[in-house]
Amino acid sequence: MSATPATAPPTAPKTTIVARGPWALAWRRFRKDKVALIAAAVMAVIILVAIFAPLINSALGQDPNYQDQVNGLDVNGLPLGPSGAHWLGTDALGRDVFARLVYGARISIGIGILSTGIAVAVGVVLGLLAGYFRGIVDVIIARLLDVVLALPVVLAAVALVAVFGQSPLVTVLVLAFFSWATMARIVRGQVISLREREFIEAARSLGASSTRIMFVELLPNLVMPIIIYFSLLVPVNIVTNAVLAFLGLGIPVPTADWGGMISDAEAGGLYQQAWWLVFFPGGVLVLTTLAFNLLGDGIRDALDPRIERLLRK
Amino acid sequence: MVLLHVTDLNVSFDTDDGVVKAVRGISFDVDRGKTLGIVGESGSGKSVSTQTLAGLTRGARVSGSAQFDGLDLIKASPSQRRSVLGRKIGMIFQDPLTSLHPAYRVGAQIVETIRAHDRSISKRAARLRAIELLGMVGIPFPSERVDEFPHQFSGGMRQRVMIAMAMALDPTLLIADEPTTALDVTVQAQVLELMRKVQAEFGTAIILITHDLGVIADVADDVAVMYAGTIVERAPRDEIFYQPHHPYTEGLLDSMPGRVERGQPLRPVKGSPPSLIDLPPGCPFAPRCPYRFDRCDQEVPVLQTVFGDEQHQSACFLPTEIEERKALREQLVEKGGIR
Amino acid sequence: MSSDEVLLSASGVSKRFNVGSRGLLGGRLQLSAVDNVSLEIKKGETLGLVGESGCGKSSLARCLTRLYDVDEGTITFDGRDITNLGRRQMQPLRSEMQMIFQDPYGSLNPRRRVGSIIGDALAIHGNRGKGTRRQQVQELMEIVGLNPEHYNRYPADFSGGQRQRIGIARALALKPKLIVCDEPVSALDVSIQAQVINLLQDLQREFDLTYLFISHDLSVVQHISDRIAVMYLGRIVESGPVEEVFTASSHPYTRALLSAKPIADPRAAEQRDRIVLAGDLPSPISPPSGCRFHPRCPKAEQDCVTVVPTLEILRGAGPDAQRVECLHPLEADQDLSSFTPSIADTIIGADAAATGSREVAS
Repeated sequence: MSATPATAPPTAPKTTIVARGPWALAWRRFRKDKVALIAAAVMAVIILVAIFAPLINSALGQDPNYQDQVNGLDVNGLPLGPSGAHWLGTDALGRDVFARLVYGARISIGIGILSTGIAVAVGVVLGLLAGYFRGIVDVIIARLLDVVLALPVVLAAVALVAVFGQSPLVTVLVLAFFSWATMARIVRGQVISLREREFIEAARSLGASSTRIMFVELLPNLVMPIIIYFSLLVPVNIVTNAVLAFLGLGIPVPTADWGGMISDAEAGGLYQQAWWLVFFPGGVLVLTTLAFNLLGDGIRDALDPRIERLLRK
Repeated sequence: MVLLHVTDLNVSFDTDDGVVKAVRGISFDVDRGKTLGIVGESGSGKSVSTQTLAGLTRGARVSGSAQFDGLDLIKASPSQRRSVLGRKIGMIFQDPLTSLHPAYRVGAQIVETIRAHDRSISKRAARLRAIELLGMVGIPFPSERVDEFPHQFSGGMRQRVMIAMAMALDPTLLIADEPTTALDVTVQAQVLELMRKVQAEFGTAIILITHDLGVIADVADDVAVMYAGTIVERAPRDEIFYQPHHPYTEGLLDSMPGRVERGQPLRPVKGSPPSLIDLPPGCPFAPRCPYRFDRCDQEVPVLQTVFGDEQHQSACFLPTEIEERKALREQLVEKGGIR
Repeated sequence: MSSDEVLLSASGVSKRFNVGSRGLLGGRLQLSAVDNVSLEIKKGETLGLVGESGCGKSSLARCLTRLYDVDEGTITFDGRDITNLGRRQMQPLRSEMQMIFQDPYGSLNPRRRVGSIIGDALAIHGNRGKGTRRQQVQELMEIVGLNPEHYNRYPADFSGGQRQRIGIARALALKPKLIVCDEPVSALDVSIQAQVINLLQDLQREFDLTYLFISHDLSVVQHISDRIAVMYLGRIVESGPVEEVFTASSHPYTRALLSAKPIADPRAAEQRDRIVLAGDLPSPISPPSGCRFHPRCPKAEQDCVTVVPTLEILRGAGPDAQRVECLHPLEADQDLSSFTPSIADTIIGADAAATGSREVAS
């Protein structure tokens, strides 16, 4: 028999546990989720289209804002249906619908992501402050939350746009203003339970400042709810943006925007003649929202599985 | 007389990481009126094995048999199992709060337990029995406390309520899974005392699952030591404590703080238990074993009689003759293999 | 070993928590977690603090390290009164007193890499040693028996025992003077527990550490401590050198606690007198009058109900004295199980009647 040197201080036991962070685990679960994968692929295509919109259009020789009064309309001055020249037809001004959709992706998705990003950033910071400090800070933020959540979004948006005028920036800020509250509430709730955990006390006993505790200790634990909420909020903001545009409060013309395109089609009952003017923008809007939502669900399931910890004992 | 006869019980779980072999071919008997202590560390499979008997391991792959009162608990249908659980097998767990319903009065829960198996008992009679049981387990003012909610009881009192509920139908077997782990020492002493008393009074057999050798020393008649899903040693209590054969049992005892002079370092078992997904090819304890030799890495040892005592079995290749085994330990201690 | 120099001393420390109000007009309900506690920790020693859950030992530790503000009393650390220091003033002292926590799962941030967790103190107080932070952290990992290559792993990749080593490395990073170990091995399996205890003792020798070692496990405390203090309901009821307290305990509670201690030796377990205390720990919101232990004490007399005892020296002098807070302390040769309770509360009495309050194992 071999005398293994048990006299040596216990060395680091050879661990059979494979090193993999929570992300690797989540990715593994995500990979198995077919619906989410398809949604992710759709998302990727739409985002690529948005990014490369100018390239795509120049390759196709189309300009989203070029009003082709000669070849873009029929003899009666009505828009053309889908054809080889205009894949998805033209609109009332003779502009190519496909080219406008491609450019509209930039605006719709850009606004959706940007406004959500701002909302999430604001929500996370306020949620952290409220949950970590409690007391008066919490009370003030909670009241603010209540006010924002109580406002009727569209009505208030109409008022805000009326005051500040129409511009992409205003749209982004208006959307952000109405969507940070839920994020703040989620983060606050999480922080309240996290701050009682021993590792926070450990940080405090090391002399960590409140800022450090909030951003170094707490924030990494909030990444999952943040990502989940982000992915679910983007489609909401895309749709709200479309609603604002439809009401004529969106991005100023002539910039292509999905909501604005539907709104244009509605003007004068044009859609009764030209179904493609509603069908395609509406279709991509639904597709994008659906893809974002399914992707969001997939991410949530992957990040936050209720797996039973069997064998803990 | 054998009350429960478990043979070749295997339990495994499919997880994302692979198949977790939680229990690997264990066999044991529980005699009527006796206490079998199952001792082991986290992940040794000690809790999973009895949970499986009670049908509490959903989604597990189970094989083997467990003969209890003419019924094979492993193959039994859920309804057959239900007819036995509660009535003939009582169970108590580490955390009574999770097994008591927070929204019902404790009396109502005991009444429900009683009537679930026999609807002919009137509510009134069941309630009287509940009060009697609470008194028996040492709850003061049972006729008043019967109408209180679980959160109104302290941890020790809750565990008493659990025992009352488990004993409600006078079972022949009581499975106690770490019943005192969540309790303080003075309360632990009370609960162990109560379990002893219940056993003496009703002749109940007990399976006591614990990680605490002190508790085992206190109440067990026989002991099974589990490691990595297998029973590595099985013997009457005193044999385990004073003449352990398996190096793991020996290591566990050596790890206890009370076993060395103050000022001397403790003698821990080095390393940590293997992953139940990726077990070593030979003896599961070999990587941590101070006696390890080549054979241990190649062959899986099975339980065999040691020290010429039918009741003492160990799954280890070390000599089964008592003097030889002792000499080996002394050699190792001299060489510094065991501090 | 320990010198006679005192590193930390507390005198008359009390800590109360508000736990809601008593009806609409009633005053606020207060939980008295720590009540008039005085103790001293000498440089280089290990002071064991034992007691059951809810006795206030963890609260006391957090008062001593000023994670909690104290309501009364003074705390002196290394010759400096730290009782009323604010968070900023405490900040530099934090590197001199560290904590190791009980829960190897809860005390490590699951979303941070082990290397950055251990390096926390260096990040907060500035890197004082040689080499980069990473080098220092890896050196610490080696010291506590972790594989330095695991620097970038997450806590979830480690077993309970290894996680506790991570917590120890974190506490050790700035070479503190005092480490408060709050039940550091209670969540670990026996074989692993022994590894961690040995590690703590090795580190103490190597780095001249002083430990306040909190545990409910008497065997562990007996093994590791030089002196111990026994807490019951927020008060220290007995303290002294470990040998004396374990062999000649004078407080009935200490005696009962020792007799209830599980011992992994069946013959010894059968031989000893077992004192099964009646009842549960009373609520610290409304602690019993007089001696807080009197409702459960088999030896209580009439004056125990009204007179509040103080911690008095029984034998010896200075920090090494054995002190007891009891009006009628036990003599070394007296057997607690020979007393018949006469003062015990009626409720407890009923309980005692049902279970037998002092059953002596045959």
